[in-house]
Amino acid sequence: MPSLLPGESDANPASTLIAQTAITAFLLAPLHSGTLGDLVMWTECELIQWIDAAVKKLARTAGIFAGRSLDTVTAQGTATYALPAQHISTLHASYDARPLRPASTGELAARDSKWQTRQDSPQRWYQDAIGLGLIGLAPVPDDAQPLWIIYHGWPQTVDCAGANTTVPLLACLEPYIELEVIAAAYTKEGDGYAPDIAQAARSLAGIYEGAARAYWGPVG
Amino acid sequence: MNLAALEKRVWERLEQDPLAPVTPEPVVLHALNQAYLTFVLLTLCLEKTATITLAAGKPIYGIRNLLPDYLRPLRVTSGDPVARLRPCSFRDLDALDTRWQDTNLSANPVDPPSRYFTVGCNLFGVWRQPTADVSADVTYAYLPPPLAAGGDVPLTPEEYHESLVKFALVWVRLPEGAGELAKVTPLLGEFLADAAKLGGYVKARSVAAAYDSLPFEIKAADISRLVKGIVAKGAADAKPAAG
Repeated sequence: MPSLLPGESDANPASTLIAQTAITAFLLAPLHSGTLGDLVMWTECELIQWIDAAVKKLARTAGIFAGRSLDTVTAQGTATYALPAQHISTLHASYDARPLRPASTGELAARDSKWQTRQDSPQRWYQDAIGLGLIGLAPVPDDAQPLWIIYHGWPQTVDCAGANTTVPLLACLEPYIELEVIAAAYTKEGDGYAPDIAQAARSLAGIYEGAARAYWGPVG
Repeated sequence: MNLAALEKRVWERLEQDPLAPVTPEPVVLHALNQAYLTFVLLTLCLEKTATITLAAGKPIYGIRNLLPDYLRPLRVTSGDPVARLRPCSFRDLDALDTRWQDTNLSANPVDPPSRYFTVGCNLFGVWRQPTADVSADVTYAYLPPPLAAGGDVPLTPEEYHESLVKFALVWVRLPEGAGELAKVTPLLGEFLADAAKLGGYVKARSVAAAYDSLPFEIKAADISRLVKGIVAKGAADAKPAAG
């Protein structure tokens, strides 16, 4: 059973997962098709890619998807560690179950000119000036201890190959996915190009984005 | 009003014979369900209380695993005598107890759970962790099952059932282009105004009950801007008719 995000403590029950095939079936009517085989101006794979893009857009827009990574263990003398694969922004980090405070590299340099090499029990975490996908600890860990991270992320990619075919989304936000796919479909150049429909769908989708941000907060 | 009556109203508003409609029944059913769930999302008008077990030495849960229809938390109570768990942030937890995630040290035989937090639509945590399994009553806004059979009645207040018809009409007309959509776009404004009205009532009731979540606030100006935007932009971008 797929979990919402890697490391999450409890998997989502099957009843809370939305099947990609159900979403594409709902999309046939607004795309003026009876079956997937009837789609002329779009392909099934395009619909799946737009579903995935919509889920990721929602994940960037509102903090709906949150996960907890328990997999990282620090190493003595190593300052930076890989963030979870589907990480967007860090909400909380702890070293040896003790909370770390967020900091910038500028702040760390102002506090300690040897912050990049001094080893001790970490007190702060940072993500600036080390590229994407990494979290840094200061002081540099002097021991092997668990590094726990609670973060906003995106769920597993829904792909055309069928490796993952479900979205762990609330049913009340499924209309958002449909609207985003309709907007993407009708902005594709070709005979199906209909910017008026796309614009209307995007405007409607904004209602769901607003509600999601209000309930679950922004991301980043 | 049950599902069959709602579907009939949609077809009648579309000038279609309900006995031989042009718009297929599954399409109308889906549109009504989208309206139903959207209305619940915007108003948080459905609430229930369920009992969950807070396990010893476990700070964080996947709440949808325990309550599959969970939408937003309203109130959490636990203990004997019953006490309310207050919502808190990570900053609060760090200030209260730096070992709040530690499954060995955060538990305290004297202090029962007194705080809870939620992150995203699924992560739910408590502090302190109980030393033995205890039950907690979670009052929460929930998502109803979709309408399926003709006799199913939406659980939203009956005086707002007509609102579902309005949104369903917008949903059905959406892929038909600016011309058709312009005819029903005012109904979207009415749907959102209805949701705002019920949301205002739910909000007042939730404030009085000191609930932890309030409905999304829909402002009249936002509704007006949205409706005008769809119509104006749609009309401006519409492709000229052939010939």
